[in-house]
Amino acid sequence: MRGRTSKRAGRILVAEDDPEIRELIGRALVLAGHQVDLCEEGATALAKARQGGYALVILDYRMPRRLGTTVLKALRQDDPSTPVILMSAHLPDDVRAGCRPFAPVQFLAKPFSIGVLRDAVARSLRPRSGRRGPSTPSCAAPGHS
Amino acid sequence: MTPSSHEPERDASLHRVADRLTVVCGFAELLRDGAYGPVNDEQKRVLETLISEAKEAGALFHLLSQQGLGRPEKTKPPGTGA
Repeated sequence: MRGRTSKRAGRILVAEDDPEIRELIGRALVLAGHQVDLCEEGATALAKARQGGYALVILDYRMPRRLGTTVLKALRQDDPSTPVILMSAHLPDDVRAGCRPFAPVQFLAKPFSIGVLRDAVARSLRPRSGRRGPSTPSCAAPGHS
Repeated sequence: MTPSSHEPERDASLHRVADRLTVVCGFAELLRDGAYGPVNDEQKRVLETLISEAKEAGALFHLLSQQGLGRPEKTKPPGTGA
């Protein structure tokens, strides 16, 4: 896992099954100066994330075969610290509560604007104070950032 | 940690609407910001209108979503209908 870390340092992994949203997020983050890897379903995302070295993992909640929350939970088995952003149009309270033990995780409500996406990414990449913080829900609507 | 909705078709439609609004708003923003090449003032004005309308639709979506759209009837908050 650590062997590939240096090749991926600072990169962002995005897992989103909708091709247009995947392209949108990829382009928006590249234009903001990030290096981005894109994939379209949860199993691939988990395999890539487990190779390590990502600064941030962005997961769609609803993906074929594997939910974003399932990927998050599996990822935390060997990676307790990489921040995760979970995107969804609607995350029920019980799903949010179920994510709390798997912090750091932010929630990003769809639909979102590019500004809201970039703000969420900036918050996730902000250095933390050496401890695992609580889950930080962030569901700002477009235009509310 | 599984979807709690008992109405998967409505839930799926809700997510599709949110996805499409994200795409419309996001690509309009990238166009406005010159990600696909230079944009003149008139084009920028039209894109600003498109972005503004998409954001308003997004805000309405969130409002409706918070009021219970896409949630199972039994979890609707009190006072939102019979």
